[in-house]
Formats: sequence, structure tokens, C-alpha cells
Amino acid sequence: MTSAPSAAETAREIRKDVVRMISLTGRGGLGISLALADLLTWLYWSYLRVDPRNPRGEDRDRLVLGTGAGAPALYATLARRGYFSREELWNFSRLGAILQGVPARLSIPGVDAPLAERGRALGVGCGMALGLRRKGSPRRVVCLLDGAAWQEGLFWEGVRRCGAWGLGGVTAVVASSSEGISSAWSPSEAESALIQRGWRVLRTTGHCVDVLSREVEDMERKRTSEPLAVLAETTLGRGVRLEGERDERFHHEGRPWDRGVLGETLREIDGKKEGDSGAPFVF
Amino acid sequence: MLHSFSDASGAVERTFVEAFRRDERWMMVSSSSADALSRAIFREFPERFLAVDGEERSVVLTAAGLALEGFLPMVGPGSPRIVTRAYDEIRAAVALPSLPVLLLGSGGGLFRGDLGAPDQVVEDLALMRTLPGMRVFFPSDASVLAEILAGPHDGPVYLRWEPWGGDSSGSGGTSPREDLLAGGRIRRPGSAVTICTYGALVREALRAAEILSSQGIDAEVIECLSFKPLPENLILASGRRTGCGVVAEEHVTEGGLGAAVAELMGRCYPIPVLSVSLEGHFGQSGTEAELREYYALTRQHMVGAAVQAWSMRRGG
Repeated sequence: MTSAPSAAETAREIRKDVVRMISLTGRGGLGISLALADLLTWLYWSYLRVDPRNPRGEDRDRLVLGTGAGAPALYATLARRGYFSREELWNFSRLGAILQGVPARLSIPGVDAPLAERGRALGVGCGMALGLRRKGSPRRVVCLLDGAAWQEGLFWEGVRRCGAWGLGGVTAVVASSSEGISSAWSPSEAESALIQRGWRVLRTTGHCVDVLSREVEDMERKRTSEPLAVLAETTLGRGVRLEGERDERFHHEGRPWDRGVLGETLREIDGKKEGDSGAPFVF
Repeated sequence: MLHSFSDASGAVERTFVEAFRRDERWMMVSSSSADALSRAIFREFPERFLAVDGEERSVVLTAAGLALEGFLPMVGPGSPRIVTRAYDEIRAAVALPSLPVLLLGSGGGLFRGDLGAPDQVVEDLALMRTLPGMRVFFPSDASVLAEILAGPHDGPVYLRWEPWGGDSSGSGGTSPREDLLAGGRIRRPGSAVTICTYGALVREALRAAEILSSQGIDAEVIECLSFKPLPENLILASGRRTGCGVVAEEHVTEGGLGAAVAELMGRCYPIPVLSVSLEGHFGQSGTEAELREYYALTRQHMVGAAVQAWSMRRGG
């Protein structure tokens, strides 16, 4: 009998699936997808109340994806959580596949909203939270964004509105790299801007599920009407040593990876050194 | 000049209020509450009116979120340029996932903006028509509006508000429901040339038909209530009878009703179809009469086009 995998193991498996998906077609955002694996593990195994057997159930928390490049990470997470078969992952972004390059429609089990990039996720999430409030539902709406959101006027409009309307059911999870949120926004500036607009803010790591769970739980012990922003420091390409923009795994432009590169990358995620013999990888 | 969804008698506001009463999923999201319709809804259903004091793009996104939760949001009417200002949001957050969002376009056409070109959206129909799954209607009175609001609510809809004060039934005594299902109504039966139009230009078209009649050309005038889907049967049947047509509209020539009718005829029953429209121009400031004259959208221009089309018809 095997025990349930730990969060770290789950995130590692998600990363490996992400790499497999991207290696097959050479498409999809590798860096951001690897960066989001721990956050998605926290969301889907700990924070969100969901039932993969009933993906449209009223009594579920909702997620709005705000980064198209991170779609492979969401797909790998949904498959592992049991929304659909992992086999679907190997058709990612192919003609006729359920898992299109980005989730633009609502045909994928577990996808609650169309992809809402460039700060739009908060606008859509705001509408959903208003709808839930009107229905008397206590369920949450999580908007998962990347650091690009900070520069978008629509994001700040959404921030202002969620704060002004007291939408305590909204949680914005912003994955930003540790080098600073953007050239224009330092993490502390972003934090004070959010607080000024009526938000609670948690600055934390985006790579430790236990810490995330504990800190967010502490934060939410008292239910308030203030929306919650989780500013999660994340590293692009977490788990794999990517050599910046020059890394050839960023430059496949629709061509599948070399099998050797895939095998090496998977071994690296598993924490095995290069040259370890290890079993030949299988999908 | 009507800038919003309202009329002198208040019938339009009452129609919306009645729809809200019948179906509690209706919500109104608007970036302004200054217009009569917004005020009427807010007065009757304050909790179902959301003033999103921001960009039109935020209004559309909020509506998409509400639609995802099973509501029927209508967007506008205080945002006349919703189509141009929020096109990408309409496309990605509403049309692609096929959400039942109703877009109240009050800025379409030439005669809506005293301020001139920026406020006269003369390309709205082309923008909305080309979005897969988007339906486009021209409600010309409260009874047609009521039928549109009754549903079905299975995807996005754009309304170009085109009141012109005509009777609410067609020449055959048909009901607004029947007219909407047919996609339009025959305002004047005729056998020599089909004049197809919508909104304020229907009145001009009827006058043009009178002039043509005195010249011995018996024109049929069709008022379109639906643009997409196009009332193909109605237009084809008329085109088969008359053998030539004119389409008049407050829209640029490209992508409007004239283009749609020409495409239909080219595909199914090739006959000459001439367009009376804005040929490659934005609008400008001016009175309604001045603009119509300047941009060649008068009854005289329709008569000229009809005579030309009539002389081009096969065997003519």
C-alpha cells in the first residue's frame, strides 16, 4: 500500500508532465509553467474546494487563468487532480485536441472561465464574484496571474472595483519573479497600492505548499469583505536550470524536443544528476 | 436625435423593465447611469444594476463573469462606443466562450454623434458580424425589442438601436414575433426593384419607392430586423421577384448589410445589387439632414441607385 504523494511530489509530477507536453510539440510557456506548479498544487489540493467528478457543480470554487503561457501547468494539474485522463496531455495544442494551446472556450472539464490575459482575469473574476454573491454562495473565485498584470490598467481597475465592492470572495494569486515585480513596481509598492485599495495582502513564497497553506489559512481565519492578494515569489523554470533566453528549450518553435534533452530535463526535475543512469523514461 | 435606448413614450424603458421582471437572470452593467434606460432599471431593480465606473473593457469583463455564473447581463447603454473600445474583450471573453451577453449599441450609425466622427461608429456592424456566433439585430421599436429580450439566450447578441417610428407590424399584418423570426418585414410590396434597409433609412426608402412608382418602377421595401443571421429567405424571395436590388444603410460599404446581401445574391441568385452607404468615409459633425445629403444617403440617392440597378437587371 502506498501513501498519498506529498505536495512536493505532486508538484514534481506536474512539472514532469509539463515538460513532456511541451517537448512533444515544442509549444507552450516552459518557464512560467514550471514556475506555477507549486502554486497550482496548493490551489487544487489544498485551497480550492472542488470536485473533479462534478466540474460544473454550483458548490465549487472557481479559477480564472490569467496567463496563457501557463496553460500547460493548469492542464497537467487538472489531469492529475482527476478532471480528465492524463492521456489528453499528450495531444496538447494539436489539431482537434480538447487541450488547445490556451483554454479559450469552456469545453475543458475544470476550466471555469476563458483565458483572461493581460490583467483581464480580475475583471472576469469580479463579475463571477458578484454573481456568486447575488446567488448567496460563499464560494471563492481565484484569479491566477503572472507579473505582467502589474502593468495593465485593467488589472488596477479590477483591483479598485473588488476592493470598493468588498468582494471578499476574490483571491488574486500573482506569481512574480523574485527580481522584482516589474521594472515599474517593487513588491512593497505593489503591496501598499493593494492595501490602499481595500485588499489584504500576503507576500510569500510561490514554491512551498506547506508555507502557502499555513500563511493563507492564518490570513483567512477571520472572514472579511476584503479581497485577498497572494503575492507569490516564483522562479521562472523552477526545477530546471534554464540558461535564460539562450536555453534551446525555449526555441523550438513548434518542433518536438530531442529525446535526449527531454530525458535529461526529466531527470533534473527528479533531482538526479546528469549522467545518473536511471531507468529509461516512460510517459 | 436619440443617443440611447429610449423613446418619447417610455415604451422602450417599460419593455426592458418588463423583461427584468419576467426573467430574474437579467442584469445591467454600464459605465454610466446618466441615460434614461439605466435610470429606469436602477429605479426598479437597484440591486441588478451595476455601475462599473471604469473603462468599457471592464464593463464587458464584468458582464462576462456574470454570464459565467448563469446571469443574463446586458452591457451599455451608457457606453455608446462599447464595440470599438472593448472589441478585444468582446472577442476573447464573450464571443469565443459563446456567453449570453447582450451588447446595447447606441453609438452605431452616422446620426448619433453631434461631436462628429469619433462618436459615429459607422463600422460597428462589420466588426460584430465577423465574430463567429455573434447575432446582430436592428430593433426598431419596443415590440421587436421585447421579442429579442425574450430569447433564446444561447450566445452573444449585439443590438444596433434603430428606432424610426414606423408601425410595429409589416404590410402583411404579421406579428413582431413572426417578423423577428423571418429576420425582417416587407414594408411595401413591389415587383421591379428590392430596396433593403433598416432603421431611420426605412422612412427614406418608402419615400424613394413613391418617387420610383411615379416613374413606373414598382419598388419593394424590406426592413431588416436581423442582420446576422441574415434574413436570407426574405431577401432571396424578393430578389427572385424583382431581379435587382439596392441596399441603403448608415454604415461603411464594407462589411455592412449591402455587402451581406451582395454575398448572398452572388452565392444563390446573382442579380445586380447596388449600395447606398458611406463609401470609405468616416463621419463628421453636422445636422442629420446635412449629413444625409453630404454622404449621399437620401431618397434621391436611393432612387438613382434603384433606377441604375433596374437598368442593369437581366433582360432589362
